[in-house]
Amino acid sequence: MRLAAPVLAGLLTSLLLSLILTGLGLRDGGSSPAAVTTTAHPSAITADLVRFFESRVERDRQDFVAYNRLADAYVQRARQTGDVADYGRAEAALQASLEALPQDNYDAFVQLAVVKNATHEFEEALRLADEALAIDAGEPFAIAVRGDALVALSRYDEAQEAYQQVVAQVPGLSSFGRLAGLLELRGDLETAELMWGNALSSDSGRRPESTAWARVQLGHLRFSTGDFETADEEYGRALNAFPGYVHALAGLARVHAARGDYESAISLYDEVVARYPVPEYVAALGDVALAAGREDEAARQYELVAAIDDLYRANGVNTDLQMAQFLADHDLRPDEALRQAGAVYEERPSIQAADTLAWALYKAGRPQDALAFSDEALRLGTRDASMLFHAAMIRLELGDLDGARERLELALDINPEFSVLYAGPAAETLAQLRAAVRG
Amino acid sequence: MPVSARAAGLAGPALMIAIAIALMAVALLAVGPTRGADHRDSPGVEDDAPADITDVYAFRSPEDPDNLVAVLNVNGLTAPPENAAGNFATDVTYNLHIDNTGDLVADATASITFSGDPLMFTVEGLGEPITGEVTPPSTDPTPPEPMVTEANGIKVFAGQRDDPFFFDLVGFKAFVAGPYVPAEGLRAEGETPAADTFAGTNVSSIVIELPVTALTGEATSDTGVIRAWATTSRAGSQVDRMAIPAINTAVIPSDQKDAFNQADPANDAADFGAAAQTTIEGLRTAVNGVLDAAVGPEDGGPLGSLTAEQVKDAVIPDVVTIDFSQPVGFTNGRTLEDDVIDVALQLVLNRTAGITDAIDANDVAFSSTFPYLADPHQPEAQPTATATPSPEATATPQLPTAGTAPGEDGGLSWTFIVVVGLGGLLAAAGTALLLRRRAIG
Repeated sequence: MRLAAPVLAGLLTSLLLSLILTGLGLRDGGSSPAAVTTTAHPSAITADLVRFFESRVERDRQDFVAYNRLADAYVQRARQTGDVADYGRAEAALQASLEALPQDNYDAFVQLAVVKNATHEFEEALRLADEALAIDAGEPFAIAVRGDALVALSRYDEAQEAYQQVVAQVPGLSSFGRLAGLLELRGDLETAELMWGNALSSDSGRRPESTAWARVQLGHLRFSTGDFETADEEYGRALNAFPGYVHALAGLARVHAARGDYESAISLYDEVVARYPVPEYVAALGDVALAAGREDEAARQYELVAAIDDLYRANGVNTDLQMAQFLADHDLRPDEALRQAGAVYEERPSIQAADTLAWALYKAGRPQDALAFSDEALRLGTRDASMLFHAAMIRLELGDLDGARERLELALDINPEFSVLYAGPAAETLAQLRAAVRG
Repeated sequence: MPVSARAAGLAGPALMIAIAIALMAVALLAVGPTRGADHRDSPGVEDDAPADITDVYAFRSPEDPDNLVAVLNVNGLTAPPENAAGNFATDVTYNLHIDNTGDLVADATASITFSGDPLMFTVEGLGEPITGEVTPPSTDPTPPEPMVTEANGIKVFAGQRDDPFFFDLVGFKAFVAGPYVPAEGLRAEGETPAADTFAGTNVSSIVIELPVTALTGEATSDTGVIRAWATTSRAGSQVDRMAIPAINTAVIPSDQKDAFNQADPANDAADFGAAAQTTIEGLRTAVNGVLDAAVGPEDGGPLGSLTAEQVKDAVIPDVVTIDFSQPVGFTNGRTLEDDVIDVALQLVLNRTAGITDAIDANDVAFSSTFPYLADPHQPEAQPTATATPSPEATATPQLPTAGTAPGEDGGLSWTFIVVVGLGGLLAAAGTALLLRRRAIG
């Protein structure tokens, strides 16, 4: 018997009301994306590099150097455009490279590990990184890629050790950036902040996409703490480094949405999903449309999410946690959300997998089961408003009003606009809980 | 009952939408960037190409034989489309060390550093500091005119040039990995013909021309011996060093390469001599096992028949020795034209017959005037090299196919995509029902 059931019933009614009423007020919009430079666009350079090395391997089928560089250009292009077919091309190039030179081909193994990380085959990525290190012990790129696989496999201590080694060897944007991301995950935002500072001050600028990547990551960190102004600035800087960078546009869209400027958020998201229709961005567009009162538009986007996911899965592409998160967030197919989250968690019990599984269990009406996974997700002290909100709602459902209140306070303190869908209900729930305590 | 986001009822043109997705969707992985998303790939770790010395040259000036030209190259294998990214680093010191007493300790070091915008170089250690402008790399179809700085009888150039190195690295690595009887150069039977791996690519070069007597301290340019090597350092720590071509690649075991790059020539014999000799012996044994029967026994290298120990003593310590009383050219110095790989291979393997990479000259002609290295390769004029593509141009509808050969279109047929899209339609219809059921209000 749940102690707080009657309280909750009333509370939920008001929550739903508040949900319906939110999103109507239009607040001041943010700044527009940064000016686009007129010099050669980095993606044009990447395209030229692909052509250059394609013609090299065409000429010399034994040229493992050109195959390795070609694979690197494909990976770079995949990062820039999101076209994962390029990962398949990179893999084919690397297989050809290894055929030409099966031994002593460090670059091929490390690039292959990069590809496997990108396609979420983390155990294989780890094995390939180890192969690369067997050829060239202590090479920082291989250690970093090994660390990436370890993070995904939730072996955080080993990952941090690897990243710290890389930072010592190559104190640059990618090494500091990796460490910063891991520290964020571990809840050490202060050190993460320092590391991002190091990353950007040591950036050579030779790879504009890397610069943009770092700026976007920093923007997300700012956003996650509710600092929309500097988040906006970082996304703008990313667009300066790499005009049209899709993740920066998505970041800006989220800032606009958090400020209540739904119209400009929608037009930015429209641009994003036209080029990069991952379920996450399509769902975000739907959420903003919903908040803006455009229910038909939201429904269309939610339909798209499901259809895109099916399209990917039919082609063996794993959308991983995004779909489970989407389903749970939108109260769709709870069994399917649970199945997908569970499958990912089984394979690699990362913080994100534990959190999504907890949320899916909660949505499936199993808060008792959800609690353990929610605790596990927050075991490192990750300061993520969304995860804390999940933890709060699970506790509320279990009747732990104090536990729920504490976590809601923390979540909203970290970022009062952490989610277009759930920030409002979170604030409303907290108000109810406080009123209940006082009354 | 769990808290629920408001879910809206669906309008229904699911068929059109599903087809639209099918036509628009680039198959993508879940690499969303937000916190709470599962995974966002980090970029590659920066290579240290600007501090990575590819080659060192030392030769008599074609314009004035009383002068020595010293060349230090970095940023190897720069492909023309990425020319603009190939420049010197402002946090790296580039050093040319000269020992003129034979003790393997530098008696003079020319240190070159870079700063400012436009990028300027400063040469210290050759009398008054010399400052000049770096020739900026470009992706224009026309190569930039080399900017030459002249002061105190010294000429300096810093900028992008064609990589003067010529070498079938591809054939070499395959041959060394598993010796076989080569069909052409170092390539095995049935493989593509030997090719210069460095053809068509650029390096960033520092070229300094100065009087020989300034280095030797002798009265004329025809006497004296110097030993020279190059290093790069960052914050006082040595990153790389280079003197004799391919020695690090060929005879230093891979687990000692980093230590070797950070060492001083004075310690080479003690620290790396034994390992180098072991490598040379191992290479000879492996190659003899294959070539003795097919080509014949060791017939001696370019300096006559030498034991592995004698070869080791010739290449360790790793310094370029120049005796100015002798003609300057590899192995007494190194000119741009020298086919160093054939000589080094023959020396190491103690064989002349059949030992060549079949690449005998650079892919482009050298210049008869300072800075002597050929103009850099520039990208072909293509609309994409200068224009910003429209966003749509980057997203072509393709589905991942792991086995796709590079350069080929990896897309599945449109028919297949549309069929999958219709599958999506069914799922979308199911979703719509769920949404309606869950709809609030």
